[in-house]
Amino acid sequence: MDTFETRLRDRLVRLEAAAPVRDVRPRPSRSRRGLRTTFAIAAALLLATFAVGLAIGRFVDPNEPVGHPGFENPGQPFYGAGLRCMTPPEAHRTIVERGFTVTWQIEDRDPAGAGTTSLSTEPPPSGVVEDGFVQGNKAHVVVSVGSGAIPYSGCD
Amino acid sequence: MQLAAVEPLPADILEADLLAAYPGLVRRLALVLRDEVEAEDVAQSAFARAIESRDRFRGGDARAWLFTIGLRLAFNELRRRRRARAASPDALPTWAIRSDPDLWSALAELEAQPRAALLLSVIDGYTHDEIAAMLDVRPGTVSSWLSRTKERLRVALRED
Repeated sequence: MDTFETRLRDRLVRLEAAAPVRDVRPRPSRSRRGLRTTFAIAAALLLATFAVGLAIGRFVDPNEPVGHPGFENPGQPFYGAGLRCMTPPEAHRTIVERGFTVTWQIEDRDPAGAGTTSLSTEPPPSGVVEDGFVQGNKAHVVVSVGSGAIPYSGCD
Repeated sequence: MQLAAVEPLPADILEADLLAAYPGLVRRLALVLRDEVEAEDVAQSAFARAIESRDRFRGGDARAWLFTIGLRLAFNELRRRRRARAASPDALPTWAIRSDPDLWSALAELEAQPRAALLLSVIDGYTHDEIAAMLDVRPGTVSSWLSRTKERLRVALRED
């Protein structure tokens, strides 16, 4: 295996390992599950998600780099810019002023919404900047909107 | 009275092997389908089908058997999706952004079957013949796919 293949294998393994798996065991088929059980599982999952969210908020150092180029990681173009503490329009201005074009990936986190994802070159008027990365002169920014969007805990 | 240890039945062993392979199948399908929610749904169906048709399993690599069922269901799902809507949005999941967005985008340029073949070859080390059997194509097709996909990725990832 040449060097390229070795590097490719390492990158593919890391990317695949990053893919989330909600249930490590297959769920029983829905038709065999009672309504009460379904609600109980949904409530347990909701509680678990909330607990993990709290734990991450509490224990993760906001300045610690997480894997491949989050655009605010050390060494990345927006290190120290504080984009995650800005409104989307403020973040948009900051990014454009530095010579980048922006694609906004808008994640609807409203429980009443369908959890949809959409892409736009314009920022939403409000929301929480979650993450992003830079390729060349293009920035790709993920922003969550709706009542389920949780503000970044590292902002004053 | 001392009871003899109960040996698990072969069916139980198969189910245990399938359960062990299940999370890996979900992750693999997330790369093939490029949608982790659909990946879980398809993996669920694949697991259920494997259990239903366990009598047809002739021994050997249970993981490969489950992956074969899962990948074929995934290709059906992609065909259905292609009919249902013109093109999937070019959105990047957060987990891919945090891991390797360049590679995720480069993989998007490949067709699903060559992409699956690449993963089976590069990550799992299956031979061309084994991949051909899993994807129900000729070994020569697999060789051609692998050669082209690697070259495309080498260019896309600027690896010279």
